[in-house]
Amino acid sequence: MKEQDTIQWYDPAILSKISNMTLRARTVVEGTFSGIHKRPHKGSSIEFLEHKEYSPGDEIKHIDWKVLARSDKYHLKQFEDETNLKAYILLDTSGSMGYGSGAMTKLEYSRTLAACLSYLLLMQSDATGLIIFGGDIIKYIPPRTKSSHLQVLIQALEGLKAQGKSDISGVLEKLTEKMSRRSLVIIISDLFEDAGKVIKKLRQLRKRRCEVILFQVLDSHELDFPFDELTLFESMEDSSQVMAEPRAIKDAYQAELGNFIETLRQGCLENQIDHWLINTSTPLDHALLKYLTTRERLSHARITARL
Amino acid sequence: MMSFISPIFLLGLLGVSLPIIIHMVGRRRAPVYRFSAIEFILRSQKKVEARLRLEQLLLLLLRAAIIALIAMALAKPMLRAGPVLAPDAPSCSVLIVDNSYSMGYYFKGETLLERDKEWARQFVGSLSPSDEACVITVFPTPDAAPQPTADKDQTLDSIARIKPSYYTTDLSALLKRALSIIGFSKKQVKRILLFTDLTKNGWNPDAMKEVKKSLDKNSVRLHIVDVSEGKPLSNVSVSVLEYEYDWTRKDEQVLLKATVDNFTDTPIKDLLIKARIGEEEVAQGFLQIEPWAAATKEFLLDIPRDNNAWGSVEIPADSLPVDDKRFFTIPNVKDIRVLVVDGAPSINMYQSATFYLEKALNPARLHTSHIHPTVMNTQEVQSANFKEYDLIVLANVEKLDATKVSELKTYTAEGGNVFFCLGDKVRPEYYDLNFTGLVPRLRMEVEFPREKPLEFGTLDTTHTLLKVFARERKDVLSSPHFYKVFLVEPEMGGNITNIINYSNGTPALIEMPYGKGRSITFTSTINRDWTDLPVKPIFLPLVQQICRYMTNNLIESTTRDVLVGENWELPFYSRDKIDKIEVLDPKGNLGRPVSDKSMPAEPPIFSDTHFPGVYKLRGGETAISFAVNVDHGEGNLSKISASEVENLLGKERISFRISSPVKGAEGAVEGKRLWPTLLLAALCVLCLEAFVSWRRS
Repeated sequence: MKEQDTIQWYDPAILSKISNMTLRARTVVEGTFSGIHKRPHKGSSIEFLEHKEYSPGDEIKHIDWKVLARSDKYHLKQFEDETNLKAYILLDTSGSMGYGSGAMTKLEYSRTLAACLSYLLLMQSDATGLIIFGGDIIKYIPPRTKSSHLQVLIQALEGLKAQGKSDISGVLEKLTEKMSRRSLVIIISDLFEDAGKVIKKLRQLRKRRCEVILFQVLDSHELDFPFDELTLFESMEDSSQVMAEPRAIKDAYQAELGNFIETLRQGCLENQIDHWLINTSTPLDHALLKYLTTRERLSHARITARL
Repeated sequence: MMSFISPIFLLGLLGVSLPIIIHMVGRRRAPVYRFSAIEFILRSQKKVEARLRLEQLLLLLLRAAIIALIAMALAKPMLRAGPVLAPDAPSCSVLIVDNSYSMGYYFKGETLLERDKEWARQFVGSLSPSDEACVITVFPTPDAAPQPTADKDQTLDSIARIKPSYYTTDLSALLKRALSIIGFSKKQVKRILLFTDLTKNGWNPDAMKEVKKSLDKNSVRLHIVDVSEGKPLSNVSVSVLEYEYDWTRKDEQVLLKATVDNFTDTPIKDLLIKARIGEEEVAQGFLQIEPWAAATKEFLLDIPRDNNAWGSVEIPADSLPVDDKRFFTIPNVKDIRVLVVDGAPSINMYQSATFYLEKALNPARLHTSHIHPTVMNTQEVQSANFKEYDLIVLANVEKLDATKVSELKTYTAEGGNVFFCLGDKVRPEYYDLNFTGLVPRLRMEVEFPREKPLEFGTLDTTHTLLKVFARERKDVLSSPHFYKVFLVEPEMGGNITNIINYSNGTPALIEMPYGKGRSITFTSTINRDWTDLPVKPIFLPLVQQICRYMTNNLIESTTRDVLVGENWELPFYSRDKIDKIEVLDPKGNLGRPVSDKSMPAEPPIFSDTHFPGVYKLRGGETAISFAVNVDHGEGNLSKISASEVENLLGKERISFRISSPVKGAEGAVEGKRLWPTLLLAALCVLCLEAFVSWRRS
């Protein structure tokens, strides 16, 4: 892959800002590789966390002998292990993702976002996988931690075309069993589907203790509907057409879309799923930065509460 | 009916389909746009579909309406009863030049009639060679209606020859004449121009209904030109003259009452009013008259006993001088000599046949009455010369000497008058034998019970003799009772007239011509033997009237205004003399009275009463004069308003002008213009369309 081709996915300007941030999963997952993510199992770690009074059944190897020498009491050393995370990035390439009123279509925007996230995760030594789907799973790249895995992911993201009808709920149903428990699932899609069905499938993921982040990518024209004259609207996923007077239906359209987004947001909130609505007219770095800042703040808050 | 000045623009109505076409083309040419969130468009479209369709339909209709209204406005529609025609369309115009006497009013230094004529000339001058016109006036009214002509000079000459008349305006008659003339015209534009002072007089509401129908039927437009420029006109006129005269007396004094009307908004103080006998001023006085009121001045005049007394009453001349003077005549009172032959004299004078008759003929003393009765019995009459008397009355005369009978017949045949009153002395066979032709054939006496007597039947008050009883109460006329009467043989043919019948139809008073004279037979008694008539109120006037009627001396107790244009009936006549009678009008022209030969009972009439003044009869046995005056109603110059005229004739077919009309200018106001309304409506619809569009967006 050429150098400039790679650069278009993670622009240094964007990446320099993001590299100052720390991506932390909300949920501690088990991993085989050490990373900056916290591991729930204490003992075989390299960073001391606290002392605990010995109680029968504890492993003797964890007794801090120096404390015993000083205080004649048995205390166990407890460590906070750094562990890596299994992250799955799900990228929607259905026909509707091909829409773009500006410089970038939603798919271009989404795959840039996916690349950025992949880079970050791999920089943190988290195992990162990629699932490209439309009406079905188009490509599945299992999670790996190697830094060279980034090139694999980037290659997969290249040359994608938006086509076909999306079936997110169907795809999620298939993936739910495949995915490891306590993994991080990042879904990048416009989610133009029955909101109820989607929420239902996401709830199943949550039941498997997966952390789910939902990036709903929408174009500014989809949100604002700034059309004026009588137009024959053609579907990007099938052959359906509709003649409409945009000015006459604008209010109704925005109400419908607003209801849809609100249903999704409400469903996500109820299931502790992060739902982020991204307008493709928003610079990608701003959107990403906002997300990471919020995530970090929430993560700190949770750790503090636990301590 | 709606018509259009520029109907070509109605093609613009095809533009009504434009919004529909644009809508259809717009749908076909709508840009195709690939869009992701089409599901939401579909859902929102379903939600608003019903409202959208309604709005679309409404907009479509509004836009079509805008185009239709603008197209209609450009076509210049007019609401009128006929087609709107270009101002230069060939036309036929009938000019009614009002030359009634009110048009003699002086306005801005000239009479209204002069302005009438000038404005009519200007209108004729504006006509094009293809236009036709003719002129009619209040007077004269030729039998043959004038025909519209394209010869302008002829029309202008007709206008120049119009003179002021003394007639009153009858606009309905004028308009009907104009419509009958214009009805035959084939020209596209038909108009009547009425040049008038627009006074109320002459606008007869009932007659105008017919005019309105005719205007609509003939598609004729009426242009009313007020030559007085809409300004109020004031006038003071001598409106009524009345005299009171006791015709049973020969007194020479007459009470003359003159009424003056003030048709102005200001009170009049000390208005000088003068009375003249002939040309001589005999009395004068002053009147105070409130605005729009009348005042009466009474003059006690000594009328000279000579024949043909006439005079006038006048006030100082104002803007309308014609009605400032009014004429009157006092009927000539002639002495009448009556020979009364009493066939049944009695020592008791109340029982004589002639007592009541004599009293009725001469109710006052001899020197105060102009009827001079001489009573004789049948013996005394032998020496009488019938020719010395105007009337011979035979009251219950049994018989006369044969020579006297012969004299009587000769006397009557030569123009004398005999009045037969019957009674118990009368023998039918004698009368039938000796008075053949003078008295109807008598049959028998018939008696009626006291409790069920005969009365007079309904009197024919149109008969010259009975006219004076027209205003009497019916019960007064029928109050006499008759207990015995003579039946007469019905006469076939001839000129016998039953002047009065009894209530059972039996003739009571029978008139028979005899030679140049005539006789009248009363079939009951003239005293109280067979009837109570002599003591009833009707007796005296009836006897006086019979006397005057037979001697051609009928007079009336008061004046009867003969108005300009009215017929004057000769109060007496002899059919063989009528051809010799002439009437001299105030301007010195001689005319003749005419008699309708098909109606011999009707008196001859004189109809050429075209000028106010005194008319004198010449060639008759009696010198008679009569006064003709203008109709005082015309002197009230109150104007009729435009709305009142519109109520009478409708708004659609009339227009008003207070300036000189010219062809074209008057054409421009024909019909009610609708296009400003349509443009306004288009503007309103446009605003509505903008509002609906704004709501949609």
